Amino acid sequence: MSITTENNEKMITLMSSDGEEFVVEEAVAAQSQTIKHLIEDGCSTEGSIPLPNVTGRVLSEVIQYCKKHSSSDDKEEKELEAWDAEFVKAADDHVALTDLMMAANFLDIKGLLDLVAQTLANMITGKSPEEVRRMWNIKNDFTPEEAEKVRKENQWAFE
Amino acid sequence: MDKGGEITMSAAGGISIPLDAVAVILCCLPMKSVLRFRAVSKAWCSLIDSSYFARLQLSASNVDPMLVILTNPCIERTGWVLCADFYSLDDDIVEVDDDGASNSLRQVRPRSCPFKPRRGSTYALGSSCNGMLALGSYGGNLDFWNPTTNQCYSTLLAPDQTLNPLPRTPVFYHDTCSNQYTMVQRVVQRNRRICKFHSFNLEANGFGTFHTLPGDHAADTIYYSSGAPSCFANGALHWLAPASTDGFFSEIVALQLETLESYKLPLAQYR
Repeated sequence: MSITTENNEKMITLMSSDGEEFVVEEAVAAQSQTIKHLIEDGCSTEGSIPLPNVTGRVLSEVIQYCKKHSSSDDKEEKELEAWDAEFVKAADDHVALTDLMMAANFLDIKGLLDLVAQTLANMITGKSPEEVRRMWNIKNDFTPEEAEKVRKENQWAFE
Repeated sequence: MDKGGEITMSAAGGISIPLDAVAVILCCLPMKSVLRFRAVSKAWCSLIDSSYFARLQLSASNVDPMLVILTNPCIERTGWVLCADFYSLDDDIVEVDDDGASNSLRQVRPRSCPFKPRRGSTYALGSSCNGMLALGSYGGNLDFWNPTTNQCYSTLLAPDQTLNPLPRTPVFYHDTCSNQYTMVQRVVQRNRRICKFHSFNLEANGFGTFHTLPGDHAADTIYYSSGAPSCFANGALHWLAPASTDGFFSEIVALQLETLESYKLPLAQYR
């Protein structure tokens, strides 16, 4: 659905996987390359744009990020960095951050993807392989012999 | 909550992560963490070892922290240790010897060298490229070593490819157009005053002579000096050459590797 507001901003509606609708300015939504291409292809004129991979909770966070970054042309870079830091801090844990990263990946928002990837990287950089497995429910499929071999190949990385 | 899509919730309430997202996260990590995480699972290990990941990581880094420079090289004949002065921008690669200022080259010590010196062999240390080193030995071996991952690749050249009489300093570079690693070696045949160019393509595992420059090239003789320092820059192989028989380097000869055009450049004049 295309609506125009009083100050002539074109609005579009995004629908999350759980059916929640968000009305945002086109300039905000177009920070997502995926949505931008959908708009260019004329998908936004017939009702809302469905985003089957993103839940309402995550989408509202993504929109928050896009709003901040679309209106930030004349803002201080430092201020934006501080805002980004607070933003990922609010996401709280690796589960929320992983959700956010998947959304940023699907929606193709490079700035957000880089921000969240770096945050997750900072979170795991000092961790052991076992701790990383627990974070993302990864099964250890190495036999004890294979595990020992992988470890020996780069012993210094485990010290 | 989420019903399907890429995000899947397990019974335990945890979250899983697809490999393409893992690759993006790993690109933000120092090499030490990346190498440790090869032990997470077989899928992670294959991802980290893949050339796809190597390229992703390379394109993600806007600086070249893996610069490695070697000087004064020699091989300890009794052991596996390569003695050389290593300089690196990345503390993670090797143990730092001194407390050099940040953002400057540091003299470092390699953790280990995978090459067992062959009896009577001596290495000619070549150039480094994206943190990897190319080494040639007098026995006709060509070795590639990544000091960070400690991975090495060794190839024995066929007799007709053996660099005779001595291997010359190889120039190792990454061709950004074809996205391939290639090593080029210049071999001079003195009596005939010709200069042959051998190249080794790491991906194709292929070695061959791809170009020959005659001595009377460009109407005046280029005195090819076989041991002259060489480097790869702007798509061309450059090396120092003496313009006369006195042997002093007085000009730079370059060979554009794509077009195989050769040209001369004057040396900078110092006062």
